[in-house]
Amino acid sequence: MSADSEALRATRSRIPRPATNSRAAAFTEFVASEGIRLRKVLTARYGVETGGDIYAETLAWAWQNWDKLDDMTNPVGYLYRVAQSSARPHRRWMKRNAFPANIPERWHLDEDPSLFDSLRSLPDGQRVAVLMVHGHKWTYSEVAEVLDCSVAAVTNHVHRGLAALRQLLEAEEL
Amino acid sequence: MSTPPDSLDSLEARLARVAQSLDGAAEQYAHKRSPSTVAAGSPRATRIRRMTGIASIAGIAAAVLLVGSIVRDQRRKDDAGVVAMSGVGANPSTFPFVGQLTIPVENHGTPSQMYTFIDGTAKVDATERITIESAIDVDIDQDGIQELALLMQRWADTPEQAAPSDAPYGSTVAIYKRVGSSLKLHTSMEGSVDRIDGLGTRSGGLVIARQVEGKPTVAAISESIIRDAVLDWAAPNRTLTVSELSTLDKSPREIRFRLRTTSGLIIADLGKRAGWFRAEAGQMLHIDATSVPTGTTRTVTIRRRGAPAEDAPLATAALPGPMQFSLPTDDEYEVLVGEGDSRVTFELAIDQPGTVSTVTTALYAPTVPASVPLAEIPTPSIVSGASTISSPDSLADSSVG
Repeated sequence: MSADSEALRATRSRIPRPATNSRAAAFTEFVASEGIRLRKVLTARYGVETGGDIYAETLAWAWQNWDKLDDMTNPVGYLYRVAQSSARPHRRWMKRNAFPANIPERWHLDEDPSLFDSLRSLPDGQRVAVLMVHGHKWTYSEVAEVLDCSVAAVTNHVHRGLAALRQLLEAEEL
Repeated sequence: MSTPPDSLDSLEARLARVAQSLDGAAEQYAHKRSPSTVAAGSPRATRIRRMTGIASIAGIAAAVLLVGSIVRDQRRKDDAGVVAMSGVGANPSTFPFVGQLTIPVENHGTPSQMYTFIDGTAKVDATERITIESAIDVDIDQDGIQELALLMQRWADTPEQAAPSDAPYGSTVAIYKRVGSSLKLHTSMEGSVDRIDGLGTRSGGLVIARQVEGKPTVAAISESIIRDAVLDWAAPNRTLTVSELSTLDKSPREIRFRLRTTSGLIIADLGKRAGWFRAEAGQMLHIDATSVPTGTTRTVTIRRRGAPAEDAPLATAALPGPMQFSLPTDDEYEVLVGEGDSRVTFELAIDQPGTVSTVTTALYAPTVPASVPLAEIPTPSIVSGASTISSPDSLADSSVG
């Protein structure tokens, strides 16, 4: 089990569902736990800056609609859908979300450029699944919860993504 | 496809490093923004949103301009005008021109809607009946322009002659425009027409600029084409229903009517058409082509209306005529125009022998089939019953006198 999932489990057991009078506190705790997961997924899908922007917009939406989220069984999965909707204006200008988009050099993400290039060429779903499972060590079910899809779908994404990634990397080495 | 364990381990390690790098970068990026910025969205998102908004506004403006342009073009194409003069139709035998009626029969509009074609003289009411007290088609061609100019000038010169006693001549001039399938009142002007200031064409229509009580006014008259219409251009107070118009054959053709009530001259532009009219015994029928393609002839046949197809025609003529025929009995007669690729224009006039009188009735029915076998029709240019009376020219002259 990943460190993220352990932290999440601990947070969930510790934090009650947000009450009306402690809305800000509940929101803060939600962001500290599930919001982190959401940010990782959005970064894996849309890149650092675009993903960060979408994440911020999604959290703003979550704050405004906190009462609605409070009643949901899978609020982070719903927020992922909200994030996808928020990504539409970005996609319209960018045509395609280049992963990882607009990374400043100061973040030193060019340590493994070939892998970044290969990840960029993967479909979004496969890239997210591979990075979450093999990069962040999430379980399939944790990924499925955030993506609001089935575990089987995540499994397919991971297997296909890994196979494609391997082929791409081998082709580059040749 | 299976992945070797060592390769997978290596790949997993690389993926873990990439994930960690991304996560660190994302955290840095998030920390670069204040809580208010987070709540409102990133600067970049705001910039994108602003640009999107500007683009949207520009797009909407462009769309509005485009739609406006299309609508304007369509209106220009759809322009059809009706000039109606109230009061002047009260005594049609007095006036050579008593108004104009344009009916877009092909799409004649909502029958239940009331359109007043000619104020005080013709209207479509809620019962789908058009009451035409008298009307005249002022065509857009050069003749029509000249006729209208002449008419307007005549009215301007001698209003007391044109004006009926109980209605001020030219008190209302109404301009109707065809918008889609409807006729809409475009504008109307109160007051007498002082003089004609100019004639011209605009948007495929006729433009009349004139003075109305000292104020320059421009009225646009567009095409006046009656498509597939059955109109009873008889004496005043004839009626016909819109539903009759709507049931007609919709083949592409057109009829133009001109009625000069003082002379009884009817000009019918029929093409491959047939029509019928009602006449009294002894009345003379004059047919004279005004437009037949050079080197061609078109056959015109006169038969009793409703007679069996095997009955011989009463008369035939090859256009261009002229042809004169004395109508033997009080009856309804068909005028059948033979086959041909081109449209012909010819004049029908019904007169008492030796005199110029008012037409009693004439109805052109496009749905009447040309039932006479054309091969059997003799083609003399002038057939029986002819008598020497006023020539069509003299009829035309007298009509505006």
